[in-house]
Formats: sequence, structure tokens, C-alpha cells
Amino acid sequence: MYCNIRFHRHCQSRAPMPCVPKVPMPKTPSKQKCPLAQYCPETHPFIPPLIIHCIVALERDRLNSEGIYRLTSNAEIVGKLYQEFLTQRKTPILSSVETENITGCIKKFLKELRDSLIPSTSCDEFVRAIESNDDQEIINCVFELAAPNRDTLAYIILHLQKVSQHSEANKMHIENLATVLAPTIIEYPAVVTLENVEKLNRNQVMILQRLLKLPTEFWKSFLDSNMDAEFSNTRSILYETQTIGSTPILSSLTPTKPSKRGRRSIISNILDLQSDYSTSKTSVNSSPITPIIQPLSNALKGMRRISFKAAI
Amino acid sequence: MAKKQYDLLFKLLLIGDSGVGKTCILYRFSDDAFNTTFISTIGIDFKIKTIELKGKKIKLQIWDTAGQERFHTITTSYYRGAMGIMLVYDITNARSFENIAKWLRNIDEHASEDVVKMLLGNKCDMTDRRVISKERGEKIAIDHQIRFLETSAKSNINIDKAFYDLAEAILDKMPSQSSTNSMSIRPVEQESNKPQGGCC
Repeated sequence: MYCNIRFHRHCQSRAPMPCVPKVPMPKTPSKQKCPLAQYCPETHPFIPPLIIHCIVALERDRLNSEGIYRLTSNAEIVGKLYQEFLTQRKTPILSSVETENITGCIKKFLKELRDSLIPSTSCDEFVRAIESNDDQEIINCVFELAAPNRDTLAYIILHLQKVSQHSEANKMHIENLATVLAPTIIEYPAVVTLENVEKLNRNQVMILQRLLKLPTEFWKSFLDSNMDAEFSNTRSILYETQTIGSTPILSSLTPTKPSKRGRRSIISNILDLQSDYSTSKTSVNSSPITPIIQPLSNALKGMRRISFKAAI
Repeated sequence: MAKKQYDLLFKLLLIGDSGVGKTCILYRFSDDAFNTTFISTIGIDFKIKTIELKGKKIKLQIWDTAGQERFHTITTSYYRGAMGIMLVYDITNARSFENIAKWLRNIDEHASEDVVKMLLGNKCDMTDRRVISKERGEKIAIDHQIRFLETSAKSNINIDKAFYDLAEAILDKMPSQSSTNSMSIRPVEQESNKPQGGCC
């Protein structure tokens, strides 16, 4: 499912980028908050367009901006931008928007969700997982998340890992990013009191730190492949069982198999666009085939027991 | 009473946008140190320092808040017990200056009415990156009738002065029936115990 936009090669620079499916504004009675799924497209990867546009803009030329994600935004500008994203047909142009207002828009979007990206119901499991000090436990928790939460989380984590690679310039290393964003990404599971608030805060930050330290390949696998067949439509279930099976997912991303072009378009659109601009040397096509990204479809349950440590 | 190492206890609060240097100001004042690592504060933290002012030993309990918006619901609950509030902006960051009005509204909403406010324009050592002139800081302070200083935690400019001035202003505001010292201690203590009882 891609937009079919056609343009002359020389006009490419003026094309609306990234090309992501538009999602109609969720209609909710009164001022109720919407769940994440309602902001996501109907096809994999389930990531809200607002998140993609903002992250692509940040990765284009702002990764070195000091205090990225930490500096406070202008609530008014962010509010306007947020509304524009959700209500206007045309995607807002971010090139002239200040970095802290773009990060502010991402934060606002996550804050306005009915439940946080890591929902309050999953928080206890994540806390148990970090206490067990076993990466596999954390990975299991990530697999338990609903597809929109998992894909969006994966996309955001991959982005934050890139941000932290520039920490010499932007001063935002993983620990700092975790401190700043944890309360936005992870909801308090319990009633907050002045007694428990410190522990809750520390737990949130620890969870995000550990997620940020999981290997990039692990997070990429969610964007490369649709692991939750149930969430997507029937066609993609068929498609997955027929074509991927036990073959490495990477083969499905090569242009030699034309039947996957539609599928590739969105994913590679997002990832390629970023690898063009980022200093990271690895792109989707050149990333090594690891055991992580091989099995799919019917092996969904089996996935959970695969160790990701080997891939580090 | 004999146990007490101080005559008065003042609760102070540091607020302001993320990254303006609240923690650095506090760290410079309490430990006379400066750390260039750019570490965000989680939720809320505090330090204690006892100073002497007008012959009185004053214990300053200084609460340092996280500037991140998501922490605001927690940090605002600390406003109520505060006797003095330092509102910090960064002279190299226009946004932090623009947000002063928002922080002042927060104070009006959550802090007690007689709280002593002070505006600090931090990072005044960074002259080449300055975007907010000292005059603009002074003007907004006059408009809101609050004290104002430009500070630098890095170069240790006006840090001690800021805390002493604030403490002095609180001291001057205290009930003038200070002829009996023990009388003036009590109300302070009651106030300081309030937030813990009230918020839990």
C-alpha cells in the first residue's frame, strides 16, 4: 500500500517526504483520549505518521543539537503543530520548526494517548524484568506489547539510539535520554504519592535505559517484518505464511522479488530515508543476517525463546 | 530544643525550564563544585546547607525540581511548603525566558501567597552565546515585582548572593514579633511539616 505518487527525477527533492500512509483523524466522543492503534495506519509497520514525520525531520540535520529532547518546548507552538498534524490534510513543514518544538510535539503526542506507549498494565512486568537482570525477560515483555505499541516503541528506540550516538555533540547519552523521556513513555502503574514517587521514577528510567541498550538489530526486526499477523488483515497473513516461512526475511526485502515491492515501499521508505541522512553506516540492505530476523509467521511463539544476545 | 543546630528552617525551591542549570546552581551553592556533565534531574531532589544571617543560624532545605513537563504534577506538589522560590532561566536560551510567565502562573496557582520569589538569569559567563540581555531580565523582574540576579554556576557569579538575598528576604518577611525567638521558630516548623501531611 503506497501512495503511487510519480514525479520527475529532478523534482524528487521537492516530493513530500517521507511518504507515509495518511491516517484519518480518530473520531471520539467529546474530548476522550484515543488509543495508539487509532493513530496508526492499517498496514505494517504500525507507527503513527506524526511520529515518523517528526523523527525524520530530527534525523535529517538535528541530531547534534545540544540538549535534544531535554530542552523545554513552547507549549503554544507545540499545541498548534500537534493539531495541524492531526486535523489538516497537508503535512506540516518541519524544516523551519525549532528542534525543541519537534521533540515537544512527539512528547505531546505520546502524552495525549489514552494509555502510554508502554501501557500501565505492562509496567509491573517490565519492572520485574529489569529486576531479574535478564535481557530475555525484557525481550519477552516487548513481545507481549500490542503491535502498534511495539512497532512505535521500536521505531522510537532506534531513533533514540541514533540520537545517543551523537552524544558528544548533543550531550544526550542513553542515561540522559532515559531520564528525560521515561515519564513520557512509561505510565505510572500505581497511585503516585510523595513516598513512592522516587521509586516509580527510578523504575521508569531503568526500564527505558534497558530498552535503549538492547541491540539495534532486535528493534529493527519489528520494522522489517510484521510479527503480529493477527493485527493485520487476512491478506498479509496469507502473504506471510506463503512467502516468508523459514527463509530469511532479508530476502523478502530484495528487489528481485517484485511481489514484495508494495510491502517494502513503506518500510524502506522510512528506514532508507533516515540512513541517507544519518551518519550510521549500516542501512537496511547491508545489515547482517542474524538469527533474530529469520523466523516469522507461524513461529511467532517460538520467537520468544530465541536468545538475542548472540546478535550484539 | 537543645538538639537543634539551627534557629530557623527555610524551605526553598528551584524551578525553571529543562537544562537552564538549576541543579548546577544548587551544586555550586551546597558543594562549591561545578560539573559539566549534562544530567537531567529525575523528579525531585534536595540539598541542605546551613548559613548564618543576622546572627541566626538558618538551615536551608533546597528542593531541586526536574524541568521536564511530565514531572510537573509531582513537582508542583512541592510548591506549597516552599517559603522561597528561585525561578531560573538561561540567558543563552530565549525559550526559557519566554516561559517565565508560565512558571510565574504555576507559582500563583500552587505556592502560598506570601512566598518570596527571585528570578535568576543563569549562564551569564557565556557572553558569546547570550540572547537575553540583562535589561530584559531586569524589566520582567520589575514588572512582576520580584528580585533579580544574573548568575553563573560555572564561574561562581552571584550564586551565594542569590541564596543569601532570598533567605534574607524571607527572614525580613517573618512575623516582626521576633522579640521572643522561640515564638518565631514554631510557625516555620508547622509550615514545613504541612506538605508531607497534606499530600500523602
